[in-house]
Amino acid sequence: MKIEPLTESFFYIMLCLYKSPNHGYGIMQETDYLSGGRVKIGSGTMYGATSNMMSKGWIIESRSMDPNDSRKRMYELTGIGRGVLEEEVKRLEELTNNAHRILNRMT
Amino acid sequence: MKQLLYNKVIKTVLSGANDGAEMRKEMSRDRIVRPTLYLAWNYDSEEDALNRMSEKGWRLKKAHAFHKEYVKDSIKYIYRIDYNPVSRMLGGEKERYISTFEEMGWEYVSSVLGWNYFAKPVIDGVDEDEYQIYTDNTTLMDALSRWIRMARCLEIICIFITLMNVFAFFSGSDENLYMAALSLLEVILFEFGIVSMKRKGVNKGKTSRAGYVTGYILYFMLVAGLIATIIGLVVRITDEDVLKTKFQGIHVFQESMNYTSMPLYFSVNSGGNYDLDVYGETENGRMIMTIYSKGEAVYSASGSTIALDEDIYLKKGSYKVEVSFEFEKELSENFYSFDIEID
Repeated sequence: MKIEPLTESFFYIMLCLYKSPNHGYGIMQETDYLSGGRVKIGSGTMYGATSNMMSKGWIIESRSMDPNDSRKRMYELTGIGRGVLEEEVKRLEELTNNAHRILNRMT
Repeated sequence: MKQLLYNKVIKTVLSGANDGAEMRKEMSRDRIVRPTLYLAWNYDSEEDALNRMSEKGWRLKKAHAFHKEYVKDSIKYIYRIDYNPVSRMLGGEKERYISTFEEMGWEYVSSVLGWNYFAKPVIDGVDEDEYQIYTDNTTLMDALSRWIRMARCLEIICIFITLMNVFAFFSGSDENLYMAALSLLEVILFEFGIVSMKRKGVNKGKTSRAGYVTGYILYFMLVAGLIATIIGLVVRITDEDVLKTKFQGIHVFQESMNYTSMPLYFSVNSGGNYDLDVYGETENGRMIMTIYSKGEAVYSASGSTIALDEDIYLKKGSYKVEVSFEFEKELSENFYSFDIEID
């Protein structure tokens, strides 16, 4: 299956869920931190992106394990989602590797 | 002692009540209602208007289709309006939608017809990006297409209404032309809105601002158009009954008798009316034309000349038309008579 390149928001949301489930606010903060403040995720974008990924089966909703925080809505990456992210990383590596090869040869 | 305590309680209660009244009075001064009318695709205008109100110290309390309620609040807010019909549903998905906004510091104000109002307090020094709800083109396009999808459906209904009214117009109902024009205008407005929304998605310079404003007037025009068309159709259906009568078209009888000639035309008109077009003359005496229903005369005209051109209304049923002549005050023994059946 050919997968379209992920948008930055989609990519970072999935990346932030790779290690463990997280809630919307956590994803937003981590994205902000990882990208050095370059990528922001607004609430409309967060809702739209998570809805889209849930319909594709890339992520699912789950409840927090923390008893103090059991009401909090969390998102969890599925096996399919993991595969999609890994494929995308491979694709990006190919792009950057090729770019480096050509740019380095030129200099 | 007891009395004193009693007095004190009474006083407290009284002053409490008084405070309440004062407070209510104060409250009423602290609440204003303003009419609003925006088109859905003029997307910055309504948000800007809300932001300006907030700068003047008025916080949006509730948004309605044609007006908004504000209360006094010194905190400055930035407003964003998002179209998402999920807010009209009950249950988990609506809760997920609103809580996603709340997690990021937005206060949910209210919703009207799928348009959702959010407010975030202004904090000095906070990056402007914090007040954007769409930070990515794909999700912005998805949001815009949610509205476009809805508008397309309504637009198709409007096209349908236009066509029905055009057909009704060509089958003789003049007033349907206005309905057709009105619904065509609505089609044009929807199309304009759809194009404007699409352009917002393409125009990158504006994509970061993704609230858009409501076009309730279109919904109400649509509902009014539908009702009017349905009423129009019902009227057309009654007309259909008349058109099916055996007495359709022009019926003529013409014969000389007692120096009389009389062509008689009946033609069917709209709304259950028969267009009665009679011309008759006698050289002597006078002629009488009567229409009977169940043996009772429902219409009658007489004279030496009958020249009528008028509408008469005939309900479903059997009628008898009789034309007789009077000569020197003697009723002629001969008369024309025929039946009409309206079914």
